[in-house]
Amino acid sequence: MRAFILRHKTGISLLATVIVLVSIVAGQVPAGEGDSLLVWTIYAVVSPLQHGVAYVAIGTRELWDGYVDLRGEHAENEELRRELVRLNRENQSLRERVAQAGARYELATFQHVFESSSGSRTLTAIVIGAGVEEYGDTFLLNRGTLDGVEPDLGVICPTGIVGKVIRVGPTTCLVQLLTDPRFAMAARVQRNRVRGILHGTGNPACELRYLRDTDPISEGDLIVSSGMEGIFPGGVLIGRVARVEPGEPPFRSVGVLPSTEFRSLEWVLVVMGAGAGDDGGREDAGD
Amino acid sequence: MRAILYLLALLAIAVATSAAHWLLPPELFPLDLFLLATVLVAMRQSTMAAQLFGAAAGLVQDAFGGGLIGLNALSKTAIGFVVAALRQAVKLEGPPQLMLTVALATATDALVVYAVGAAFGLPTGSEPATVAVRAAANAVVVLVPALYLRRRRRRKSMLRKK
Repeated sequence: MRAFILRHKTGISLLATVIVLVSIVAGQVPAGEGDSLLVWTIYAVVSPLQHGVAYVAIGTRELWDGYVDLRGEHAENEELRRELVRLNRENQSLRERVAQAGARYELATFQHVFESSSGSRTLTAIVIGAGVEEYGDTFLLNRGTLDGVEPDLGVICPTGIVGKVIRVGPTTCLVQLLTDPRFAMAARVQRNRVRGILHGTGNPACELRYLRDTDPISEGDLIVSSGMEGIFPGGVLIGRVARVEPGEPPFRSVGVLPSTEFRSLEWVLVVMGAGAGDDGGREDAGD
Repeated sequence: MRAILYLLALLAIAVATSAAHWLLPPELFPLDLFLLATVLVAMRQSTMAAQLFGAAAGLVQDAFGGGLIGLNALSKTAIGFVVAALRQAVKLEGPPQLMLTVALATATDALVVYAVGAAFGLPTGSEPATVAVRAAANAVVVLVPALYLRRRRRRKSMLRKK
């Protein structure tokens, strides 16, 4: 018997294993009595380990999901940041357009009033750059001979006189500003009609020359164009008297601060044909 | 000592399989690590040791898998016994033979599970396509430990010769 068992130990152990396992399986087949003690014991032993594995696995998965979500949030954050930059640019662009539209509207209104009151004809122009003169104050406009612009035409804006055209190309022209040392024009004190010659000085303030010691003038008086030289109609604002001092006898030294802030100019009007103007032209014509 | 090592290996496989099932969808983890372990043990041990290891592996697999306890144990017992017996009769050492053995063992495993389940009137078994994928995956993956063990064995034999 023992020899038989030893000789066939493999077969016997296989048979025993199979019988035990089949019994275990058979014991679990539902027969309306619930789980067997063996199955219950096996589950009782294994379940804590299963819980541990599940806990670690779920924790790992949640950690991973959180990381992925965080990456998603980061990408979304970047996207929103780019969107904010884009909207800021768009906002800035719209503000710029509104400002330009406001400036254009103001210029158009001024143009209408100016043309109807002075009988002058004007052409709108855009300041496209500073001049290329070695010295002096000049602006470059986007109008030239093709638009009918010629040298010695006046340039104005809603706040007053800007300067005059000194050089013209086919599509651009160079404007000499009031403050340029080579600039000169006939002007008068608006309050008492006293005439003088306004000169640029290269400084922010111009100088009104040839006013006698006896001519009544004081700081704050408005200086306007006289309309005598035919570039500007009479009565266009130039600036305000900022300084009155004794000069070489019999004249006074009068400093005039232009009413226009040249650095912020964008749109101007080129006076194509100067009319008589509000006051000075007619008066001067009668002189 | 060896029995303890085998048991520890089975526990490690159980933990790895459970974790994989928690982390990955089933179609991304078609491997049956218990079957691979059974085949690898059967390639080196006697038929009795192989079938006992198969039974233990199947029991652990059933316990962790949450299914009918003993079902996989029966199939793994059969696989351990048959592979160990075959190895004694036919040379199964080369990688192609091993891959074929694993693929056939996977199919046998599915067949036994299906047959036992059917005998008890239980709805067990997998789709043929699923079994095919599992067989292919097992056959490919078994090469890694097999080649490692082979290299280790060669090195040992070379040391012995020296």
